[in-house]
Amino acid sequence: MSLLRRVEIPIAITIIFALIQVIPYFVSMGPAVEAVQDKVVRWTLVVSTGALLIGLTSLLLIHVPRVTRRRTHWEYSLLLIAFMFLMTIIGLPFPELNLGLTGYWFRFFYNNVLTPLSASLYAIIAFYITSAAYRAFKARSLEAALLLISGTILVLRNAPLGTFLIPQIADLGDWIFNIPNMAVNRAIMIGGGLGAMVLGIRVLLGYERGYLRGGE
Amino acid sequence: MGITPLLLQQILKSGRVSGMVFLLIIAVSAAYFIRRGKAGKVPYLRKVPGLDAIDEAIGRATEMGRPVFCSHGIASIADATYGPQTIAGLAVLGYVAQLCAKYGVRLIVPVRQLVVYPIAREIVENAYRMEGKLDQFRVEDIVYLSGWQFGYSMGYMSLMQREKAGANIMVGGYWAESLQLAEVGYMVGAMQVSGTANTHQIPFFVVATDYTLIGEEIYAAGAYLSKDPAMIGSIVAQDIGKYISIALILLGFVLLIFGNDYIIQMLRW
Repeated sequence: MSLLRRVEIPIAITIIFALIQVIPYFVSMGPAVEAVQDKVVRWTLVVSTGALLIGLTSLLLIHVPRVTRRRTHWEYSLLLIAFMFLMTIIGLPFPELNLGLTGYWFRFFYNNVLTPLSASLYAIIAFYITSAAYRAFKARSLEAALLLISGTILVLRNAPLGTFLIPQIADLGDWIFNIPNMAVNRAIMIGGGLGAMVLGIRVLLGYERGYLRGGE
Repeated sequence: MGITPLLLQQILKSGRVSGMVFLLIIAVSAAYFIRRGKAGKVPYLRKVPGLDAIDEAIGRATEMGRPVFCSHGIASIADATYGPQTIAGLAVLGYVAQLCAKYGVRLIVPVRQLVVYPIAREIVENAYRMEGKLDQFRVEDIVYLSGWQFGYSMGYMSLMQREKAGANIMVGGYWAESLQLAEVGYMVGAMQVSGTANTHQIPFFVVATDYTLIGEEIYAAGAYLSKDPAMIGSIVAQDIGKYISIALILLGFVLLIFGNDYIIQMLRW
């Protein structure tokens, strides 16, 4: 196997850089080590920026053939490519031409295209919640019945009409939210934290290799 | 000259000592149980229906002749808090890719984080290589959609509708897009397996998908699916951490009743 494809090298790099982050978090190791730690964090930013090219290539790889071969909905792909280059150009740091992230054109497209699109897509969740709740809120089992009851109480607690008609529902809703819900939330968070910790240890020990070409 | 308490106080960062001790206990336990696992003493691991359902979901998609979607969430792998969820999701992706290559079913991997893209691509490519079906690997099916959260979810939803997903496996860090993806998956008739450690998104996955991995289950996924005795052994360390947490909670609770906040003070060391 060629040296570049050997899995031991990325594992060694992972272990070294993880230790550079973990040990100074707990132990004071002096300004020199802390400077290295800081520098490693900056490297991740550099790597992320370099990855932009990969994203660009991937998008072009998918959308250019779709446009050239006139596949279904090729017009959307053309729009995507056009906007990708447009936003790149108007985002270039030339303030004298009104370009750049604070320039007129970038803010124009950001405020009039991206922001309304974000708000609309976020709003779609309300409809999905309704359809998902319709399916889920059926008392087919004890757990589903509990979900139905607690869900109904919380819906009424959050709706002005609910607290107007039944004032006590506010206290009951708060109790469900702050006591049983919080207890379960914290239990899941503790379990999740422990799981992440053990996963990190497996990575440090070189056993967890799922992120390295599937581990082989 | 030995290490004096004063020197220790200067070396160890205040407020992080209890965390370090806890981490060391878990690390030593994990190392010990990994060794035991390697020696053949594999601990009992309860069934995780969500992980077992992955095979069923891929099998169903194969029979239907529809593609499998597998995503690893939208968190960056470099993120200290949410990155582990992406690592867990990538471990699941490796398993899914291997099964898809084996059955000859198309696998589509929607990606949001650019840094994760080459990793996801390598994982899938290697799975096809290992199955001897590298010719069936389609690089254009590892799709970078958008770094913008809703751009990603919009692209993911459109892809599922266009390609008529047969299975949708989502394990990793998800936020507001979780319900959008799960609902569209349901609408196109995909069998769905989801999992996240983001507590605020778990209810959405529970109501909208067929199987949900909750919190710690996603971190155990890599070990569970690999069936590697050493990896399975490490999961026991999670249980040890839980026992310590439960003991601290109970002890702290009892001591607080008697007006003693010793446990709280100890955790602040």
